[in-house]
Amino acid sequence: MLSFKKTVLIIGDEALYLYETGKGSRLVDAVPWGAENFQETVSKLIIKECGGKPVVIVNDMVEQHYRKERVPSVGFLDKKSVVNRKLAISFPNYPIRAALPLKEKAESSGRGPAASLYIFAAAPSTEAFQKTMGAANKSLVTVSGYALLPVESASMISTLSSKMTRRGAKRPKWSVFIGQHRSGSLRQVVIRDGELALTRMTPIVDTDVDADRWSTEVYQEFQATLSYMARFGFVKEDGLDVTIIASNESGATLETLMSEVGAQLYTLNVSEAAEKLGLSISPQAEAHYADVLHAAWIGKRAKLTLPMQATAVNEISRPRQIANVASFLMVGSAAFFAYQFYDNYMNVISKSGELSKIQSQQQTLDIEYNKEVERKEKLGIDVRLLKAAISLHGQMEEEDIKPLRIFRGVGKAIGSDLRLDEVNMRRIKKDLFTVAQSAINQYANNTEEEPIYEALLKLSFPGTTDVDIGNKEVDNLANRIQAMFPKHDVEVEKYLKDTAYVDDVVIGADQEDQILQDYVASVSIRGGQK
Amino acid sequence: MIKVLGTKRIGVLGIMLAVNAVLASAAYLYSIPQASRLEKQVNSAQSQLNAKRSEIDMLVNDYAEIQKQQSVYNLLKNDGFFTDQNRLEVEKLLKKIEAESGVISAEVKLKRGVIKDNRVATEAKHSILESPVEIDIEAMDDRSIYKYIYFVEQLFPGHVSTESLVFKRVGEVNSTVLRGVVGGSDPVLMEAKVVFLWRTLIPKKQEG
Repeated sequence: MLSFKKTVLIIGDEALYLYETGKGSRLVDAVPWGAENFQETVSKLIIKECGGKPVVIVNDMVEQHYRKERVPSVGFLDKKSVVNRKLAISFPNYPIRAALPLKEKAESSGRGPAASLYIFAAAPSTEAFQKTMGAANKSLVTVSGYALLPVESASMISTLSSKMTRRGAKRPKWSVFIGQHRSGSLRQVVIRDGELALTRMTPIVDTDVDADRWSTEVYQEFQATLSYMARFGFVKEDGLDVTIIASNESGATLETLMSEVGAQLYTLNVSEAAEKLGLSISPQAEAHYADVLHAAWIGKRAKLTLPMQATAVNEISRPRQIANVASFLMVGSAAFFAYQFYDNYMNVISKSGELSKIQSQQQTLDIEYNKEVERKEKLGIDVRLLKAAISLHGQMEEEDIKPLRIFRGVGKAIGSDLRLDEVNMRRIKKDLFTVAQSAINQYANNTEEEPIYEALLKLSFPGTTDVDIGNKEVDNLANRIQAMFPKHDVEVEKYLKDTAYVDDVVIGADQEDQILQDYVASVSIRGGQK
Repeated sequence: MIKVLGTKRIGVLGIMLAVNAVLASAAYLYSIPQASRLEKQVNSAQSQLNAKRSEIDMLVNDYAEIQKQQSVYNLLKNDGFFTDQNRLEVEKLLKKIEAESGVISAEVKLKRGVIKDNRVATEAKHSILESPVEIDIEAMDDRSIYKYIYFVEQLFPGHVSTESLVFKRVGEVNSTVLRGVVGGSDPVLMEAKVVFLWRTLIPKKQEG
């Protein structure tokens, strides 16, 4: 629950007290239980005077039941069902009940194993409660919960005690808060170590006009409470502070009366107490009525200490809370959808603009395009044919052997001393063998292009040539040709008197032919255009 | 439930639900699909625009390229690259070349032309016409053969490429040959057999 301003309805024994809390907490009205059109009246007050704020219902009646119970230590999942079962057993006739775990733990002993300690609280479903629920239902406001005043005020008393204790001084274990309520009864709440230990609601004189009488009655009631506290384990050594909401005059009398109690006594009027607690309350005519403090404290808190389990409350509060959550979620989702719509709509506008711009640009480009096409057409040539012709002609030139270029290079390499007898040049036809062969040669010789021609040069030497010298000349020639055509593959196919050479076998030739063949060398050139 | 929540609260919840429904519909049934559709349209239109720009750039570059290439094209045209291979003219030309080059004789076999399929030519609605030309040359020296080949390469209409060339020395310069030269005869000392491939580009409708 969020900490909104709330309307606190305090169920007293005589009437229902409506408090508007927040800045300047105030009593709006007190509606007696016997009032005519009770529910109508209270409902209108909740809506009109209190602004329809969420309502917290607080029980301040005499009949409230408390028990301190041990709950055996069980697993987390089982704990709730064990507690509920024990609660039902403890208060079978009180459907409105709840359990509050205490910080104090029970060690394992003869009484039983280690256990958690709880305060079990219950309240009857009285006519007053039914009427209050009816009014809340009629008002259609959210019901935040139903609680018991002493339980909810325990934290207020603990806070006040710590604020009143001098800095550096040890805080007492026990604190008693005493305040008269508008119903006339005196509410005493006793806490031990910050947790509720005991509460009493007793009738005393309505007004404090007679300060002495009022103070005496308060003192007497306190004494009775002290005896109860002894039963709960109170010893003087634990330390005790007592805060009494009283007028200045009554406060002085009480200080005198309680001087021998052995407790730290603080007497504050309601405004002083509110100031200590940081609560904002409207100016109070009666300085000794403490209800407004309880109402302001409970109204300020985000969460109840011990919300009572009551079907009547749940039947009203749950659906309304769900409706509130649903409203909140729907506001969020509406905002989200609105944002989605807006964001995408802006996108639509932006994209529409962009599209128009692009379409306008397209029109401009279409005009430009047509102009270029027209310009091209005006050239009066078939552009495809032009490109095809240049491409094809270029390809043909690339594939052309260019024999004159080869002759020029060979001629330079041969020089004037050697004589070329035959040149056999042809285009290499592409078959699997030649493709493979050329790939191998390219790899071996690191030539860059596939050869398109091969030429075989035959040179003849005079019969008197020294074979070795002749062969050296052949080698040199091959090297010179290679230098002329570095990217070509130049090899000596046949040396002079090359008995390994098997081409040009002369069958049945005479000796002369054989000798002539011995003095013929051949060099091959394979290459491309470059 | 009406008693618990009240008609006003239920009314407000109902209105909020309706508002949510309207806003959700507006967002998810209109603006989001519309934005998505327009996004696609914009992307598509932008792509088309970019493509058009590229086409225009290509046309502009093409035009500049074409202007540069036109001179080359004209050269090819003047060179007879687009002719249908007039054999009579070529025979006359070869006779001239024979005379100019100084070879003793050049026996020409102008073989039948063959249409060659080529994708590039087909795209331009043309075909390549290929005609092998075999020439047997007799000459006194190799220089006149080189000249012959050079003139063929330079003067032939269209494109000419050498497919094979066999060049042989068939005689020696001896006293008998020298006497013959002095006497005015032309001894054949070199023979060459050259196979050219003569190619031109002709329109497809001219095939056959």
